[in-house]
Amino acid sequence: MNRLGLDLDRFCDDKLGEAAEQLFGKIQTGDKPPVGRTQIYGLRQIAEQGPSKVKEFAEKQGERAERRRSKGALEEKEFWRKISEFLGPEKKGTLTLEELIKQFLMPAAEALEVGAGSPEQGATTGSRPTAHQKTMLEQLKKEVIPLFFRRFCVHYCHVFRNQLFESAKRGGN
Amino acid sequence: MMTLSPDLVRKIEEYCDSQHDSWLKLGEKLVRTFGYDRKTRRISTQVRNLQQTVVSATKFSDIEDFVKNQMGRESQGNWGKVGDDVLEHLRKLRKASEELDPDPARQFAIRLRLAWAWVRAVVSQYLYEIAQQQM
Repeated sequence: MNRLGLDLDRFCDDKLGEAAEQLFGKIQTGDKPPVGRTQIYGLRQIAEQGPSKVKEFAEKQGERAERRRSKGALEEKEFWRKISEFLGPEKKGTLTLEELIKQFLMPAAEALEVGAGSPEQGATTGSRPTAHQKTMLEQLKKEVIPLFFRRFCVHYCHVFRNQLFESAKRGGN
Repeated sequence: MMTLSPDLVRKIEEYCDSQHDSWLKLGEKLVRTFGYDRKTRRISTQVRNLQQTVVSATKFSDIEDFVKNQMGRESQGNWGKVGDDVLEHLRKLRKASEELDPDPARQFAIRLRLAWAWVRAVVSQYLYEIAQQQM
């Protein structure tokens, strides 16, 4: 249970694995991994140590790939764009972490608050998110981002394991 | 941990019984793949790590991630030989939990129970095989 009293383990088991595989499916455009092991480890580390910095990190990595213009840079840029897109804000027809949280965690978190007699109760309905809802969403994102990227990075290294080892043997990362 | 009804517990046990043979085969494969520590005549560190991960997991995905992680560390190593089989067993357990109960919260608890029974059977057979080899 997290600080809001939510069962994040179950959310991670049921939804984050699916989402990680879906996002992986979008970035896997061929047999070649778009980014190397070092960058994947970097992504996982940043997600664990500073979840709010992952989007910025992805954007910077994308910009660096664009400047390089080397072979594979386009795929790398696309990879980071999709990671950044996944981290929101919400966009119609695109899988985002915010959407997952809003769909599966926010209703339970709000129900728990109402049950506990939160002063915000009743203020959470309506089409525009309240300040309290925004804070709750940010808090949940901070907790879910490390869980998500741990699953995503493990899955990535698992699926591309042979290619990543070949690349490491050749002196890549 | 959620309490499960006696009827559901019975169903879980029946499922475990029905899978026992395939679990034992995996235990034998682990011996062929990882062997054992010949000096101490004890369990291989990798098998012990798998067992520890299952026993201490708070969610089923911890176990799946452990296996993928081990496979991702070495391309031609032992986990490369046995990892896909282990993941297939885990996939079956996940599917079984969905078939045993429609409620997602109970499925979550069932999955972990199945994993405990699974690792107990697999490691028991692994240890039995080692004992046989040492006789």
